[in-house]
Order: sequence, then C-alpha cells, then structure tokens
Amino acid sequence: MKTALKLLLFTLLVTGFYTYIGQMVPQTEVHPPKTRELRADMTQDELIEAGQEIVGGKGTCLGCHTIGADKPGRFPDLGGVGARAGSRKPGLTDVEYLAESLYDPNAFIVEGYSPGMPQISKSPIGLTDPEILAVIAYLQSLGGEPSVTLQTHLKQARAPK
Amino acid sequence: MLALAVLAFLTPGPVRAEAPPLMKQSDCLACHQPDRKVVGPSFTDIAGRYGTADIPKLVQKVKQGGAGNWGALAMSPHPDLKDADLGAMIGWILTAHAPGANPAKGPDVIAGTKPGQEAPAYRNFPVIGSRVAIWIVAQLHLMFAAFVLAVPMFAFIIELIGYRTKDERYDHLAHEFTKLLSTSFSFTASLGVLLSFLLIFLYPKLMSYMTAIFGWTFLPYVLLFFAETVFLYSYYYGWGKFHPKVHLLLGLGLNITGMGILFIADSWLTFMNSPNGVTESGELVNRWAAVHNFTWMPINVHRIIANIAFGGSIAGAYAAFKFLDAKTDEERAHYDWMGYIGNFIAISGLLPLPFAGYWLGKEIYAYSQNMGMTLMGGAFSWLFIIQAVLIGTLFLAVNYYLWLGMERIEGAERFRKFIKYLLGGVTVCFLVWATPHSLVATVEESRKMGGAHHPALGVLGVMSAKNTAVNILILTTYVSFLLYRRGNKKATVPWAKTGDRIEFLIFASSAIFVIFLGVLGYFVEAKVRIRLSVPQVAAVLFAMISVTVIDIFMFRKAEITGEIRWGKIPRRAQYALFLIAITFTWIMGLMGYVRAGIRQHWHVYGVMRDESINAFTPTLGFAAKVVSVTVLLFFGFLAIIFWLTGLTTSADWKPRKDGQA
Repeated sequence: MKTALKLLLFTLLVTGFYTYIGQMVPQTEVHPPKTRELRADMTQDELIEAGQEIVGGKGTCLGCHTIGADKPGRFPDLGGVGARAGSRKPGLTDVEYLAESLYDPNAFIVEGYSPGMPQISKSPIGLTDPEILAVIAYLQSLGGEPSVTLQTHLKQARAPK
Repeated sequence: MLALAVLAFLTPGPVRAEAPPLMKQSDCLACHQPDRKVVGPSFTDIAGRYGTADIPKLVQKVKQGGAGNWGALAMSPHPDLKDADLGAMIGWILTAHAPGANPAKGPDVIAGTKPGQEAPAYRNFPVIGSRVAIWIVAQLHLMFAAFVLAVPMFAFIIELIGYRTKDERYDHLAHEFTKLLSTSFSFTASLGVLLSFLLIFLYPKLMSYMTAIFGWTFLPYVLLFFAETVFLYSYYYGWGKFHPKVHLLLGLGLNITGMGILFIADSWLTFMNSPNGVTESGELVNRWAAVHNFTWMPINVHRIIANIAFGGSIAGAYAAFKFLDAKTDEERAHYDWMGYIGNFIAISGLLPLPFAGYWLGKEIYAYSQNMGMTLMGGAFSWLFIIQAVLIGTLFLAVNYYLWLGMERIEGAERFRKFIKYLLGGVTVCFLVWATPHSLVATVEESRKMGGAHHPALGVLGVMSAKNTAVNILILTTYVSFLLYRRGNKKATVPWAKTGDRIEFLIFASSAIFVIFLGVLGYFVEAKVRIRLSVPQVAAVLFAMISVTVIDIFMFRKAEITGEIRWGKIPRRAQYALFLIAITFTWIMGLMGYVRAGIRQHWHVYGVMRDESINAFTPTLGFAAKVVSVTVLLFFGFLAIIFWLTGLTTSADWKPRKDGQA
C-alpha cells in the first residue's frame, strides 16, 4: 500500500511537471479563418487591404512565403513580386502570371525552388474567385501598379453558377 | 345566485380551469377522475353527455344518488351539499371537461426525438464539451489498445526464445506478461464501445459520413475481433496445455488478428487526416484507395513500433511496482529481471521510432504542404519543444537505469568512470534539442538580443542542430547499452583488441560525420539542408548495426567474469522505470493530439468541415492539461489491472474449513 502511494505521488509529480512545461510555451488558440465579404463597389485600396488580410489569414500564404525577408526561405519571397510578375514568363502579363501561380502553382517554378504549393482555389484552403482577385491586387501592390478589380475576368476563374 | 356561479365557470380558458376548492373537500374524486372511468364515469364522459342546461337536474341527481344512467353501481346520495355549491362544482365539471375545452395537449416531448427526423450535426456533452470527451476516451482507448497489441508481440518472442533455449524462465516471463493481457483486453473493448457510443451520439453527421465510406470494413473488423478473443483466451488459458508449437501458433494468430484490427482502425482515422479515393466534394470513388491513403502505412508502422516501446515500458512499470512491493529476495530477483526485459523492449522500440516518425512527417508533407506547415511551422511547432523535453527525459531515464543496472553486474565497476562522460553527452544533446527556434521574448528583450533568436543559443534552435543532437543521443544510449552488456564479460577471441578499436572507430567516425553534417547545415541553402538528415540517420543506423554484429561475434565465447545478481539494484532504478512509463504515456497523448490537431477546423481534411463550437485549435497549455488528465486516468485504470492481475496469483477458491462452503 505504501509503495502504491509513493508511486501515485511520483506519477502526480511527473505529470504535473509535464503540464507545467506545457504552460511555458506560447499559448495561441487558432480559430477557423473568417470569410470577409467582398463587395462589388470596393475601391482599389479596399480590395488590396482585403487581399492582404486573405494572404495572412484564410489563404495561409505566410505559412510558407515571406514578404521582404533578408534570407531566402524554402519558398520564394514575395517582396517586390508585383514588379517581377510581368517578366517572369514570356507572353504572360503580370495579372496572367499571378493568376496562373495561384490557380495552377506548379505550372511555373521559380529557379532554385522545388514545387510544393497546393492549389489554393481548392479545399482545404478554398479561396473563391473574388478572393483570388483580391490577393492578386495585393501582390501587384508589392512593387507594382495594381490594376485588378473585382470586375477583372481571369481565364482560370470558374464559370459563375 | 346559482346562475352567477355557473356563469363564473362558463368562461373557458386555454388550460383546464382550476377546480373549485369544494371539489377537493368533498368525496367526488373518490369515485370520479377527470379523464378515466374509475367507479363512476369520468368528468370528460359526463361533460360529453350533458350540457350546462342540465345543471339543475344533475344537482338533484347528486343529492339523491342512485344508479342506472352509467351502470349498475349506485352513486351514494349527497344530501348535505348546498345547491349553490353543487351547481358550481357541476358547472366546473361540465365546462372544464367539455369536448374542445382542452385542446389536445400531448406530453412534453424532448426535442429531436421524432422518428425519421434528420439527426442534428452535433450534440453537446455536458461540462467538458464534446471534443474533450471524445479526446479523452479515444486516447484512453488507444493507450489500452496499444498495450494489448504490444504485449502479444513480445510475449510471443520471449516464449519463442524460451522454447529454443529450453530455459523455462522465459516461458514463465512470457506467461506473466500475458497475464496482464486479459484484464486489459476487456478494458480496451469497453473503452472502444464507449468511444463508439459517444461518437454516434455527439457527432451524428460525421459518423454518418464515415459509415458511408467505411461501412464495409465493419464486418471484417468484428470478425477479427472475435478471432482475436478466441486466440487471446486460448493462448492465455492454454499455457502449458498444448504442444509448445501449437501454443506458439496461437500466439501468432493473436498477433496477426490484433494487427489486422489496428490496420482497419487506422484506415478510418488516417482517412480523416489525408482523405483519398473520394472526389473533391467527398463522394467515394474507390473503397480501397480510401483505406490505402497517404498516411495509412506510415501510421500503421509508426504505431506498431511505438506500441512495442510503450508496451515494454508499461510492463517495466508493472515489474517496478512488484519489485518495490516484493517481500523476498527471490521475488526481487524475478521482478528486477522482468523490469530489465521490459525496459530493453522499450528501448528497442524507442530507437527506430524517430525514423518511422520521420517517414510519417514526410508523407504528411507529400500529401499536403499546408498540413505539413501546420505541423512544423505554426503554433504546433512549440509542441515539438515539449516533445523534446519529454524524449530528453526519456533518454536520461533509460541511460540512468542502465547505469544503475551495472551495479548488479560483478565486474561492471570498471566502466563506471565512463558514466560521467555519457551523462555529459546526453545532457548537452538534451539541451540543444530543447532549445526553441525562436525564443519567447518581449519586444524589449528581442531588441536587446537583436532578433527573436538568442545571440548564442539561437543558432542551436534550428533543425540541423536538433537532428544532430537526437542522433548523438541515440548513439550515446547505444554505447550505454553496450557497456552494460559487456559488464561481466571478457572477450576471449584473439582479435578482441582490434575489435574494440574497430568499434571505437565506427562510433567516432559516425559521430564526427553526424556533427559535420549538422554544422554544414548552417552553410548550405534550405533545399540541400533538409536532405542532410538522411545521411545522418544512415550513419547512426550503420554504426549501431555494424557494432552489434562485431560485438556478437566478439563475445560469443566470452569468459564470464562475474555473475549478474538480479535484484541487487537500487530502489531508485525502479522509479526510473516508472518515469519511463509515465513519459511514454504522456508522449503518446501529446503526439495523438497533434496527429488529430493538424486537421484544424476539419473533421475530414479538406472534405468535411468542423462547424461545431469546437472547430478552433486550443492552446498547447490546454492540450497539456487534457493529456495529463488522460495519463492519470490511464494509470488509475492500470492500478486496477495490476491489482486484478495480482489476484490471479493467489490460490483458487477452496471450500471453507467449517464446511459451509
């Protein structure tokens, strides 16, 4: 009986220690992404702002990409992508290139990197066509001149139902 | 006067009007009831036949009493009642019970219980909520299942060793391990039933989808379960009653059926993590592909290995408990040996486990880059710091136990001087591994450090350093084991000295190679760096395998310089065994959490969203608390099992001496 009590105390102590370690690390609660309503009459600035929110939130882009980091990571840095996008792939304008990268990420791989990006228009991320337009507007704003609006038609976009 | 009284009761209400107080004082209710016939007719029947116009007639009738209108039984006369009072009472009977006066109001029903009604998506579990309820029960079920699957594996191997070597001790040990099984088996099954009930009740919509995909696997699962039951009990009760070969075959059957059950159950949960064989909207296309999804095999393999490690550690804890509680030297010797074997099994499982984990991680990345990043990059990355503390503790405890174990070996004193270096090595590796990548700092602190990384320690927090530390940790533990093994042996082969040198060279060169690659990792780009862990692992595996082979040949005909005095081990070594078991259980809880947690707000990743209030991912601190509660519950159940197992060793039932039976 005495042994059992000692072992019980020991078990409580060890478990208590591990619980304590669990409290020592950063405590974040991750909530499901919120969907922001995109209105047809949004100004360009509002669209860019919405795009930025999607990039950091629902799109989960910043899980892999950095924006303006000093050291290259495992995936291309997005700082200044708006300036580069038009000349990445011959024959594609910046909007066409960005749309292709988002709808079909493995169609073109930046030199020095490996393919790995999922199709964000599909589940589990599941960005809608307007949301992707917002993201493109935001990416254009990174070093480029935003031209996309919610009225822009992308050839990859799904036919409206 | 009378008319006024009647009128007062003519006003119908939505609910049956309150009976006048006189009703309760008189004896009416002795023979009449509102809705059913007792001695006399019910009020409802009376109100059906007469109207308020009949009140004067009825007043006289009640006063006089009599029979004939409703049946042969006579109503007693009530001459004492006043006409006015009687009028009020009869008025109430007629109006309050008239057809239509009381719109049919059925009994209060509990919402959501109508037959054929569509089930709600979720129901709630009181106080702790549905998620935590499922979490704890699933984890407990898994822990018991792991134990029940692991024990037959090593019981079978130990029995086989006993059969081959003709050493009866092994046979007894295998039997003692199996003894722990039968009670655990029932606990596992009970928890499995509880889990199924909870899932069906709390998550009807998810379960209906999962049933649609996997319904066809239920029958094989149940059949295997029946077969496992037969194998288990014939293996346990048939000990010494069959030819050893037949008995071993039963053990093999037990293992195969158990493994089949694991594989089927794994297909369900891995499908939820990495669904396959379904369309984008989740409709089933290919049954087998749903089973054989990306993480199915890696989880199967990872679980089998982890089960062995976990089962060994729990068996070790049992032996530790028995050792501490032992009354005789003989018992102590036996349980010391059992604890040693349990721990040996645990280490054998622990060493290859990181490699299986690596494969699983790789498959998760291959399936979904997103899920991979959630696992290693997001809030969950801190979980691996907790894991590092746990596994570091585990390695420390395992080494500590081996070092203390040398005290029972005559002649092992000569190795004692190495222990401090080994301890130093283990500690350094532990610290490196547990160093977080980015430190938790206030803005002020990070400005002082010049970034989120510690100026000196920061560089240790990255993957290269961690991989290196783990590999060296494994190597060091292996050296501890090797020294222990050699404790009372002296090699007699002529090439013993050369053999020692070669072994040393292999260890040194693989350690240097591992460290070199670790340092190199800082100077190459990420794409190359992530591939460096493979040669590191290969070097460690090569060292362990080649040294084992050399050692086996070197000590084949070794001179035994001293005996192993089983039972002569400090009591604190038993606490080390217990620590190993608790830590294993806790790690299992933690890794079970992350395995399920990386689905985030999905029931079935990318296919079926979690729309419940529990769709968020809780903090690690909260998860740690749930894991701790689960671990304590598990050890509570375990205590019951140890106690029950102890009962089987006491003598069977005997008639009482006084003849009363």
